[in-house]
Amino acid sequence: MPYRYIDDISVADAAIEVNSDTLEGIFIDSGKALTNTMVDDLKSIRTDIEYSFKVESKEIDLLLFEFLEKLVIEKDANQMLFSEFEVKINQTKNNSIISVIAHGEHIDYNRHELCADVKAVTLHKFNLTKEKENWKAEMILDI
Amino acid sequence: MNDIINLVKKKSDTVWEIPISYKQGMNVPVRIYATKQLLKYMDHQVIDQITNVATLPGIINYAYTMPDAHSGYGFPIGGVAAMDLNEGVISPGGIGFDINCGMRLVLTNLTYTDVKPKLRELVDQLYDKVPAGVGGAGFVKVNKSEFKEITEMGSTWCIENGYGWDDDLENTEENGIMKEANSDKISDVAIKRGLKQIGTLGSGNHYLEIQVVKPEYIFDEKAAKAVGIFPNQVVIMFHCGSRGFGHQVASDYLKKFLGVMESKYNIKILDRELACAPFQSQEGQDYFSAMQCAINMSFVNRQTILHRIREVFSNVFKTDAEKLGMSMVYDVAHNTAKVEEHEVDGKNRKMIVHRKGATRAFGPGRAEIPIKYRNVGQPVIIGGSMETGSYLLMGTKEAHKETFASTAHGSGRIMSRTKAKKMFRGETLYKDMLKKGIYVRSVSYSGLAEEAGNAYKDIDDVVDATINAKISKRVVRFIPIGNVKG
Repeated sequence: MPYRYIDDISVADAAIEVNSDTLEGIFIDSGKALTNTMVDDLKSIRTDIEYSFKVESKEIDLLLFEFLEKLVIEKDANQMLFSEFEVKINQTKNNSIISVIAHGEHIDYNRHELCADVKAVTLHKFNLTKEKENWKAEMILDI
Repeated sequence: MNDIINLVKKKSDTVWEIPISYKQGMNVPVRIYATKQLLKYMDHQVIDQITNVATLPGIINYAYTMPDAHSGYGFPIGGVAAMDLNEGVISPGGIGFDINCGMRLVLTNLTYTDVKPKLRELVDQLYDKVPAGVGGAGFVKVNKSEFKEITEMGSTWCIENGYGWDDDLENTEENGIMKEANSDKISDVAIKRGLKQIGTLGSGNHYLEIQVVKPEYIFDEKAAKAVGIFPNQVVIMFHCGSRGFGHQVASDYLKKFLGVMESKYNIKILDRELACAPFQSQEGQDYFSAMQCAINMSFVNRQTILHRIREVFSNVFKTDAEKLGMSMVYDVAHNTAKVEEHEVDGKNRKMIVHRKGATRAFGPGRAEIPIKYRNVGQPVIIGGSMETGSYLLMGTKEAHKETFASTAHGSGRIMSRTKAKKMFRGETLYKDMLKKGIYVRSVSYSGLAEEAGNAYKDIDDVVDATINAKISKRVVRFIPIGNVKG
């Protein structure tokens, strides 16, 4: 599993660690981890609907934060859950832009085993680092 | 268990202090309200976070934690900090993402004997009428301009639109409307997130509960009578907030503050979640107006949920909600910042009191309390876990001196959600609760397991600590019999 939930970092919420050997992989698996916090089985989410969006930020960690926040907003505004992601990241000296195609569907209370609602991505202990060939993201989602 | 006991200085059996010397930059000491036992359950991050809060500019007297405190973001949950209006800051992290998350307590004139045969029907209908869980959409359909109107009018919008009774306003903190709300200060994204969420519970620890007043759990007959409580009565309690809308307001301004805090105002903080701006700055005032919009939306959310509850009871008992005596006791917030006047060094002083997972607890005599409660104190509603019970307390005069009139808000978690899911099976929990006489409807067994009673501190320990510290007065303990969970 490229991501894991960590006990006892945040008792009321969901603390997650994501590992990948690519930056794109970190974004994809962080997106999946966020959805998995709300739905037990990611495979129960059909990928019929595509949602394309771009996010940009001066800081790469804040780019990840903004990307995840977009998914939370779509869940609240349009009752959408996403389980697959295509991402393309362009990094320049002063800016990073991510182009995303998220695949998912509307929440289905009969098919989706829903868990806790992610209300927000927080900046508390939010971290994106690269050590040797491994990217690691740590985040706490507000439940 | 932890070593926090070694870090704190005992002031009394329920008050502990951490001196300014504990961390560089602290402007005031920390005061922890807890018994020795509760202190042992406290996670270390609470200490780290509340001592960070003590470094914020303009903080008055102490940074406080309440007996149910546990770690949060920036501020701990159960954190209180009052800031000077001119020298101090306002911080979204000190209010919480779920702005005006709060509790509402509603009476009936029904007894347990009346309700028991209809309990399943009531809970099932409540589950259908009050959407809960991930992505739930409410019954109130409004467009963007109507939503903006709601954020400025608060509960008065509900009364005008047939979703409440006139005296609901009197029984809501601030009469259900924050008058300085300005919808020009909220983003389109925030509106987009909140548009479909009016009349929804949410998930996590948000719930709607049918409860019973056991005669042996009426601790203060005078106060209980003042709010309309009698033995064996059935009451309804629910807990929710401003949903995605409030979260977006907080996120929007957290980012804005991060952009100006150091460069424009030379404020250095120890945690990005403590992002803040001077209260009197343009950014600070904009957030204060936007936050009031979220407070109003949350009042509307709880008011429309109350409307649905009255409809359900009326439908099941085939009579008007008025005839069922379904008046509100009170609606009280536990995630806010309010401008209040308190005595400091013998003089009255205006301040902005941040309460994050902490309840305002005005003692008798305060003008802000409804007239009918002015002799007994402000009702304080403390939600326990779905298996244990909840409390009605009252504010005290002592709370003003001790904590700027603040007290606990709930049990406080002691176990993470992932650990709870490993330890408890939702289906077993459901059956065990049924055996205890509690019928629960939840969006999923998984979500139910996360909210198991053993994942929380003992509500009685938390309330005992508030009573012993004299920051609340015990009135009634309620026992759950029916529960809707997100």
